[in-house]
Amino acid sequence: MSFLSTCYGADIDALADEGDGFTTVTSSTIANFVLRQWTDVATTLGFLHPFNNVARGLRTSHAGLTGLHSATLAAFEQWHRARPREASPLSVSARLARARAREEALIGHAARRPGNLWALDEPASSVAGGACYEREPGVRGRAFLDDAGPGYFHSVRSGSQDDCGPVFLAIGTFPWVYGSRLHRTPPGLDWEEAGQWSPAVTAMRLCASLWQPEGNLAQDARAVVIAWRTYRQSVDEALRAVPVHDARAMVPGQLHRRGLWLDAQHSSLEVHTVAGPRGPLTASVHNYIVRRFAAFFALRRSLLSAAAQLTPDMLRMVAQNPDPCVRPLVAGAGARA
Amino acid sequence: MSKILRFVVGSAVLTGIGAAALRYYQARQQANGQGAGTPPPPPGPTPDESTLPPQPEGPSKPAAISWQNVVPLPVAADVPGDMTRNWGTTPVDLRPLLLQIEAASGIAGAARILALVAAGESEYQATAHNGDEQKESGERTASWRAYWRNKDRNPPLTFGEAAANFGSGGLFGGLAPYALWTGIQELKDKAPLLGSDPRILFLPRVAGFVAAVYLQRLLRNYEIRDHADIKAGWGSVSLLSEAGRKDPDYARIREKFFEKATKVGIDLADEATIPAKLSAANWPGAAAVWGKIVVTLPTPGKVAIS
Repeated sequence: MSFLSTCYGADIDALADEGDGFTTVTSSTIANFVLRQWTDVATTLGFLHPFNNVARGLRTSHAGLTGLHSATLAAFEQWHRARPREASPLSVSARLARARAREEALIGHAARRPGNLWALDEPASSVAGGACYEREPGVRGRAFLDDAGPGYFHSVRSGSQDDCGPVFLAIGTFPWVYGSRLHRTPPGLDWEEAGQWSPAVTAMRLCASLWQPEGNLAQDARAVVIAWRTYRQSVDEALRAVPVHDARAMVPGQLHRRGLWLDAQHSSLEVHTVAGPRGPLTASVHNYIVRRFAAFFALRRSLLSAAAQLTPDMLRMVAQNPDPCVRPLVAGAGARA
Repeated sequence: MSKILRFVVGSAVLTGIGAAALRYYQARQQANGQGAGTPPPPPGPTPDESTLPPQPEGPSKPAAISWQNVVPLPVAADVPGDMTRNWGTTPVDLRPLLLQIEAASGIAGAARILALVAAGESEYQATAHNGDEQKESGERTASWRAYWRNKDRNPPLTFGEAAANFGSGGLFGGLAPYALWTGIQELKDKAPLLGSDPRILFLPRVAGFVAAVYLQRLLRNYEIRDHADIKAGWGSVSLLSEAGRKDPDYARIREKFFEKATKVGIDLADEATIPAKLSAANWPGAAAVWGKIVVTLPTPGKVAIS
């Protein structure tokens, strides 16, 4: 049992068990943890080849994996830009305005709520830039899809409704950002770049910051705990009819539950989509989301279980964390640092 | 369930096609010295349609069964190759298997072409089954005829009648009897699936082996003018004869193939991933391909499925 049980509950400790953390805090263990996260993301999203090229190049360099994060983001950006896209019916200026509105919303969220990056959950009027763009002269368009109904990430958002909000974006599980659209294709990757604006890359950067030590320690984990429990509860409801894995039987193609995970042996998980009451839920997407939550808590536990090994920057992040349960964990270590 | 065309594999190929295709095949064998290594068995007497046993009515609905001795699907770390370039929307978790088929068969470009075949035949559903619905009697009739017309000339199938009434299924839409006879040209009565239940086609590795052998036979024995010809021949090699190319089905299947490539997002002209002409010149033999793709023969498990 770790502080996760004490602070948040045994379910969070169990979730962290699935996140493949580490026991000793060194630059190497952290780099390998980050490498595992990026490998998972690159595999799921389909940019494994450029990612492997980046990782291979860094391994042979003098600096090793220390530059992995920025190099991978650059590879992601290049890959994302090269993805084939359907032609947009919007004008160039409208696409530019939409990309800008999206990026402003993300950057504004990061600036205003640096300790609550996991989800942007605001009425449009509170979102930087207003989450609107000019579709055509005199016509406003939503920067983000309407996700106000009940989804896997949240219940109905009944706050102030206007033509561009409310806005809910699950940044921690990017590119599956909308709670009612957990289908196979990730909607966040459809955020087109235009001009200097690259909202998908910005969102990926924010998401990835959650599996960087400083970024992780800056978060108020209580919000992530609530997000996880909301997701878990709504998913349990959707998966009620899915059988639990029977280790004695290997039935090809049969979807089953294995602990927190969905599995379908000898079948693509991408072709299994459960039509739940809160929308589609594709098996591979569910597992990706669970891995993002698990990684967050695994890193948090790994770091704070070895507080004496944290760097001064990491200790400072914990000391500033709004969560009263974690600050005492580094009190002694802070004095030593 | 998606429309699944049928495989026509092995010596059985020769019975399902017209005399023109047979003559063409033999001429090619003689002309270029190519071939699957062993000459096809001579066409024996084909049972008259009226002598075939009556086909059972109603859909084939075999219950799910469990399997043992099944090697897990490969993951990206298990296989060389580019998991990113020119895959379109092919499921990420199936790409390693497709690359493994390409590597094992020595057929460069096979991975993307088979990705398109799977998109058309099964929409990537490993357990896709054509024959399990009342309306799918055509597929059951095809497998029924395939079995009864060829059972006396091919090695016996332990589950022959089940295969006959199965229709087609699996990732690449194999017609059950022909799929279970896969490899008999090279391995004779040592072909690996002769004793298997047709539901083994629902295992993607097995379906991949069947597809690899069939692709190799298409490339070696038929005139494949472009990638779409592979899909045309996938349903029936008779469409690859001069007469077959005039059949409206030939043009229809090719058109659908090109549409599928566009929809999936695989660029057939990307020669870095799909050579302009696929070649089976490096085929290592069915036994070696089996050893690399399926590894060991899966057998039915002992656990009843509720």
